[in-house]
Amino acid sequence: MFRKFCRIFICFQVLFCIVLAGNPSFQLPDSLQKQIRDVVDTQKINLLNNYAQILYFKDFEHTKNILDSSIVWSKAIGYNKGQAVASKILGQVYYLKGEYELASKAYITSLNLYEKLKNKSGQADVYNEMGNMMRQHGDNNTAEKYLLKAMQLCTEVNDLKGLATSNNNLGIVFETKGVLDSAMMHYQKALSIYIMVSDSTGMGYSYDYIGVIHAYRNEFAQSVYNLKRGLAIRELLHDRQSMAYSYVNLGEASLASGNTKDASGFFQKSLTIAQEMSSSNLISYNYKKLSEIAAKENNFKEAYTLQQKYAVINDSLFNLKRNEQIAEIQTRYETEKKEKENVLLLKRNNEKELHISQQRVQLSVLTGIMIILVMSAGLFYNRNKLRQQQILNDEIKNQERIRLRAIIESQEEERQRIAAELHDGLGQVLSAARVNIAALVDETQRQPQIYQALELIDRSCKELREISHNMMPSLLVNSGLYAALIEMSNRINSTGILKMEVLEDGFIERVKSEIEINLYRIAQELITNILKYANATEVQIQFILEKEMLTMMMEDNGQGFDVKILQTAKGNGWYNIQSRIRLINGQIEIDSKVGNGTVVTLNVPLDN
Amino acid sequence: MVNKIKVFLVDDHQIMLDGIKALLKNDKQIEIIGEFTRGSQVIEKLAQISPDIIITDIHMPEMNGIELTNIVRKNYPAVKILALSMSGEEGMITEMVDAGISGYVIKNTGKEELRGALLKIMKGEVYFSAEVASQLTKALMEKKRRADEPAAAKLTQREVEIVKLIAMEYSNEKIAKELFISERTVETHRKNIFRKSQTKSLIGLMKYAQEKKII
Repeated sequence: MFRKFCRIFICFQVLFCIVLAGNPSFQLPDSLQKQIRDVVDTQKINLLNNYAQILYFKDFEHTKNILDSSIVWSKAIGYNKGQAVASKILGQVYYLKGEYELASKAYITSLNLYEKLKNKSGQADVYNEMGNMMRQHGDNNTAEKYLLKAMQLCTEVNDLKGLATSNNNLGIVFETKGVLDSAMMHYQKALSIYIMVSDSTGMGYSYDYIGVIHAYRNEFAQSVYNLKRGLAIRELLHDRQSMAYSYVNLGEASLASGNTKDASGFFQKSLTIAQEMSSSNLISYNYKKLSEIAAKENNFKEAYTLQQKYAVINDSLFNLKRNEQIAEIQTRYETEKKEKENVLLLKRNNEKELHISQQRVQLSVLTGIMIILVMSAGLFYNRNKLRQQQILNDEIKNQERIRLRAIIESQEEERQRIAAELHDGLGQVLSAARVNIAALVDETQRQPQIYQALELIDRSCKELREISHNMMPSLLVNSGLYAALIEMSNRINSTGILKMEVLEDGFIERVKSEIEINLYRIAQELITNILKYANATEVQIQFILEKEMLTMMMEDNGQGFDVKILQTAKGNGWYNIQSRIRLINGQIEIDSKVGNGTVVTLNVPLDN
Repeated sequence: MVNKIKVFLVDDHQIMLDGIKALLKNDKQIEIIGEFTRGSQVIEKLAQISPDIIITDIHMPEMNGIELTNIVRKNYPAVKILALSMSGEEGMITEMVDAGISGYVIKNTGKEELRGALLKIMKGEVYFSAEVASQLTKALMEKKRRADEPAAAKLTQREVEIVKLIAMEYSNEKIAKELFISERTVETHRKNIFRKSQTKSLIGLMKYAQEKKII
């Protein structure tokens, strides 16, 4: 009740200030400034800042407006601390928006102000933020430098919570760098501080971090011990979400130590909580893990059922992404990810006054654990690539191929049907019409209209043949890939733009029609690309058949391209090629550099 | 006018048969003595009467023109075949020629061409529409070209370059750097080279390269 009341009170005051600050033209006349001094005092600026601190990961624009006001008011009344706090939060806002340069500027402003105020805790706070930003940015060395600076400052003024935070942040940097001993040392320092100041949330956190490092070092008993301590604390705090992640870490550690039974129990518990919270990611992750365990225990039926469940959730996640709002969701996800890291630091500020510690802790724990989860998942997964998992993976791949096959096969069948219908149906009727009209020709008379009609029909026939050929070259079906490619080269060569050569040695026999059709289509697509973009004068296709592996190699002498652009290629062409390659279980390698021609090598196994 | 040329017409479209009949009606030298929409009907009829020439379509259900030609040529060698098809695809033409046709006319024909073709065939000659003839010539030339250069010996320009570098004791890595291609591409080229030169060892390859004056 009390808490609620306070919140309403704060909101009311903040609103009042915003109304005051509502006009964003901040060049204030002197006469007004005096008035403001009467109305605006440091307390109100603090309220604005506190409000921004709560709001900053939910609504960038709004927060930015509030902070702008706060900075202007602070400047107006010469309240340096207010400006320093506001600038720091502004830095966080920019950081979340990915505008690192602006974020750095804001942080440095804040840093200078704190220095002027000789407020070392404040400086440490900003250094911590900057360190996190640099780590997120991938610059671990600079991150380390900033965090060490933060630590030094905290030590000087005996800011214990700040010291613990810096230690944890440094630990994460070392963990990212793979320097596990240093990471462990910093986590343990943080833990001892949290114990000293009786910060349960922090302790839960530290035990979790430490447990994960033990797992990395294959010290599974210690890992489980620490993780369980973390779990116990979180249970006391009723922090369900963090508990779910504790269970995941416990599951991973047990799995890595070979104790599948325990692991299965832990993932089960995590799953229950995840379902309670409807956290799709966590549900899907747990299904995946449980399925892997079932597969390991040769319980393939169970593994399959779980895999299906995983697929269903993953599918719905996937569909969600494909939605038009993909951009929005993406931003939201990224923001949340970053904000969760920054929230770590939020805790220290006015925690009790604002009564939001519970929420922040949840978010901060989530972040830390997300990072650890991703890293440990990767590590454990690699370590445990066992045969059964391979079988399951194969099964997944197989299912994908079946889906692809259905699509591509029906497409090809449809093409073949249309081609045949055009050629044998409409084409025959047209020919018959032509013959019938030709029978009307009387050489003794002038009949220009009949000749015109004949010419029109001839043109229609020619176009029809071309369409039908592009749909499905009858030569490919009747005589095979090699013959069809030779025929393609004849067509290409007759244009005089490109000299196409198909070298027959190595492979001229027939293979499965699925492989023939797909290789032909890929060759067609590649030739189209060469004609469109490569500016080449020659192209060669050759085959190697070796140990049931068919290699098709296509070389051109064109201008080449940077293969990196394929990663972002949006066209259907490249996508189609990849789908077809996957369908025939093949591999494609594109070797090209600007100015140096292109070599495309396709390897296809013939045995399945 | 004693001996008219006796002709069978085969096409799965009745309207086509009607058109050809119209084209050849009142002709003093040609007489259509049977028309069929199925190859099997032709075979049955041949047991009773024999035409001089069968004009047949190629794309037909059940029994296509190629199969029909094969059967007729085997059992009734005196009966000549004239293919009448919509398309002049090279593969189709060569297959028909192999089966033993005496002529091939594209369906965008007129009275004069068809009559001329039939008369020529009757005299024991062959007749091909201009488009068909050019396709046939092309196929022949291609065949000759291939016979002239034995397949096993033909290394591509790139492969020759690589053989030269191998002779200079370049590693795959160095070759890749030299030619600005990836090592895996070099490896594929190497496989190709060994297969084409029918050698298995480096020494064998060097001997081959010397023989072919590559190095």
